[in-house]
Amino acid sequence: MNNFKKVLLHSLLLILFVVILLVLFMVPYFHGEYYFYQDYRVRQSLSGKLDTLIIGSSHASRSVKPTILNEELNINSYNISSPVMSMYGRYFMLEKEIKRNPIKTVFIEISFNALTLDRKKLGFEGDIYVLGRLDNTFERLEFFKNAFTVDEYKDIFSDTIRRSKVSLEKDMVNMFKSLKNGKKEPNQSIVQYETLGYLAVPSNNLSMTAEHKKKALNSTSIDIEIKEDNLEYFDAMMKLCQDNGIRVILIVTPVAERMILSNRNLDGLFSQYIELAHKYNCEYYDFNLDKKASELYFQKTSFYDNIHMSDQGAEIFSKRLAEIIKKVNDGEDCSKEFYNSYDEVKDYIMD
Amino acid sequence: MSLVSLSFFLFCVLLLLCYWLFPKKIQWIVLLVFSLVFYAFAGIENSFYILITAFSSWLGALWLDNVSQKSKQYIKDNKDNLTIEEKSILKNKTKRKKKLILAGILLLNFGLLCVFKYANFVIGQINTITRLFNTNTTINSLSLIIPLGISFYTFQTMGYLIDVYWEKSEACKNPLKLLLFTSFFPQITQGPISNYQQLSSQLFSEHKFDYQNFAYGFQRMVWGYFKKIAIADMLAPYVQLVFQNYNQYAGITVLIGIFFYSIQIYADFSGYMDIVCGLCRMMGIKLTENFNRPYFSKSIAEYWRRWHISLGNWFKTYLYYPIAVSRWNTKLGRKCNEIFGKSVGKNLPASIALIAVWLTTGLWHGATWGYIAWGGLNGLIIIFSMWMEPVYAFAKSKIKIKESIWKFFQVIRTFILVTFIKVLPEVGSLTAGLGLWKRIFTNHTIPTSFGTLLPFVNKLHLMAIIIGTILMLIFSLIQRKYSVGKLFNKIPTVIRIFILSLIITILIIIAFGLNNVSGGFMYEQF
Repeated sequence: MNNFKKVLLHSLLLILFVVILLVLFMVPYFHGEYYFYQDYRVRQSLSGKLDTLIIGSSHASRSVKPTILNEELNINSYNISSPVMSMYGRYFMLEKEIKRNPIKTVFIEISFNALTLDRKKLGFEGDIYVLGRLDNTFERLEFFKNAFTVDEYKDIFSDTIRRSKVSLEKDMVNMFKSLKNGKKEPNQSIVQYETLGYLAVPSNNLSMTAEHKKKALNSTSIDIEIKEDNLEYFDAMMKLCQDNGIRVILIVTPVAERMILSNRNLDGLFSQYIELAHKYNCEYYDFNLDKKASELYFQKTSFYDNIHMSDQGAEIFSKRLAEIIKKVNDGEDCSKEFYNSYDEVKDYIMD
Repeated sequence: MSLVSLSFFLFCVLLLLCYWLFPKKIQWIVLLVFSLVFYAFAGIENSFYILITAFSSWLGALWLDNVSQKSKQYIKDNKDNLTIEEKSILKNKTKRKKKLILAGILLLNFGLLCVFKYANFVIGQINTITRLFNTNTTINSLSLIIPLGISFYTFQTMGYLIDVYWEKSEACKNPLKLLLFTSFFPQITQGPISNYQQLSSQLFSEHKFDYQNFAYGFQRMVWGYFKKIAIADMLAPYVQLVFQNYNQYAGITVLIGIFFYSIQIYADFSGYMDIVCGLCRMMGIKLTENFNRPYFSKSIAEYWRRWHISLGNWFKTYLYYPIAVSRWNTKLGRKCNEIFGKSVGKNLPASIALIAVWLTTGLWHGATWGYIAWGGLNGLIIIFSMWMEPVYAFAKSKIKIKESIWKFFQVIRTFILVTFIKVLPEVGSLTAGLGLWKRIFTNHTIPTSFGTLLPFVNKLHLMAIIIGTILMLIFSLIQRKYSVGKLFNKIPTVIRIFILSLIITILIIIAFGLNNVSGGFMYEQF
């Protein structure tokens, strides 16, 4: 009997140690696992088949529908964007997908703060999303090691516990709901599996009256200083694409009228992006300068908020993006379809 | 049921609880029930074939025993009435009858094995030949699902039957006990192929709970899982990638790939053995060891005495010796002795037996020309070494090399040889295997980056593989003189438990991190 007691005691001690160690080790893993951007299994299943990638932050993840691009351009694309995605996160994801897919084209979304955001001030949220999209522990540990600071680890640790609690509560509520209704609650992540990385959001009416427009015009400004860290990884992404013979298309996705009108220094920001496009000899399309913007995007149902498109808006924008690319592929000059500056767009909107 | 799964973990917990909490008298029944459940997990329809093997062997062994006993009893009863000639005639008659019974049961069981493993190979060869003669008649291949562990349980049970025929072993009277011997789950998928006398005495006896055994068994299981998950499964994607696309990679990359494969297959197979031996040890059962640090062998022959030991022993006992000491072979040896001298007279019969054993070993591993060539090549190298032994001894005495350096050279040479031979059947076909060899020697491209040298392996991943392999190597070196288990037990309990927890945590992380890509064990396919 003593033997049994010894085994029991030692087993309990072993389980206790394993639980403690697992909690400590698995933080980076589980933290990423919480979010609904868990599409690595989908991307794994498509591995070796993708020829086009869309990469960017929430602007891109909510405005580019790969299903439409695939249909219109006869390609196999996937949207690997995720909210607040840092340039390092983009580089890491891009390198990973290029390694396992015969990529020919990459759309890099560089809207507003893509190169100007300061990772230190912004926090780790974007990198957490990326962490959750990586396939295995080793990748996650590698990314974790490079993307996060020691101080952030502490925050992540407490955040994990908080999120786990929220997640558990959510699961319990869903479970009771499904027991009550007799059917399973839909899993949010499944939606993304079907949409190849695109994340749909509902629309909100953001239309502005003439008075609102007048009031908003040039009322504020945004940070236009491109940060060194961002530029370093942007440069690495460009080199990565060049080394692999990949066509790079820089895109700025549409934002709501208010965003365009209110910021007085947008031309200053985007002229830097145009310079980068020239430097790396790649295509650049700013769809806020699209002459059809007013007719296509500035509708009541096109936006979720000032910077993110709604599902309806994304449908229209993705078709327009495919149309432009098709024209360029056919050798047409599309520069006439775009205004030259934000001031021109503002004038048009104000009229 | 995969050994690397949560269901297997729960299965083990339940088994251990039942095994130790139920009365000792029924411990073997617990094992039988769990073995049948384990087997049923692989498909209940396959249980039919294992039942045929178990019951035909049980019946056959009883029959053989009965014939022997009757004949002995008759001779004993009529000792004074029978002449020596009559006794001899009776013995021969009995022997013939026994031979017929044995042949019938061997035919039934090896026949089943051949149908499942080799029917489609034979059909493929017939179709190839008919295509050569431009005939349109092709035979459709059979859609057969090979029953789990058929190669292992057939060999183990037939070994028992031959032992009964040779009167080395007593016939098992209880059919359920023989069913347990045939279907004992820890060894059903990859062996070891146990000897009836050695295993039955442990399976059917009552075991008292012993903490030391339990702890040692658990530690060994953890070590086995470490080898499987942290080494073999980590190497698998890289090896697979290189083997499938060897034509796209530099010779050096392919070379690294085949050495990785050598490590992978050892970690995989010996890892499995550690898991099942550990589990059995937790129940007080000591399974036959299948490995004895094989990569430290000084020759291919020695390597095969240290790798998959139980299979080697089976072939040695039931195929090599019967051929080597057969009447026609010894006669041939004697004749050669007279004509060509002692060396030929001794080596030729052994060479014939060896080539038969090795071609069969090749076929046992798989019904492909690659495996046949692999078996043949192993046999040829062993035969060549046997014939060249005097030359080696002479060369060594002339060179006057230090014994330790010579041994080191032999170990490295054997490891390289084994590594090259191993991959021959593993690339898909014999042509592909030869193509892979060619690539290593003819492509001298120097990879420009880490990514092209070791595709698909990130640096952290590689570091984990290297650490795991070094650990395995250190343990193998320690094992030369000491028992790792005993050394480990000298560490204070709490620290020991902490180390085990750390390993288990790492294994969970890797297994979970790889998204459960951990496939089955490599030797399951044989």
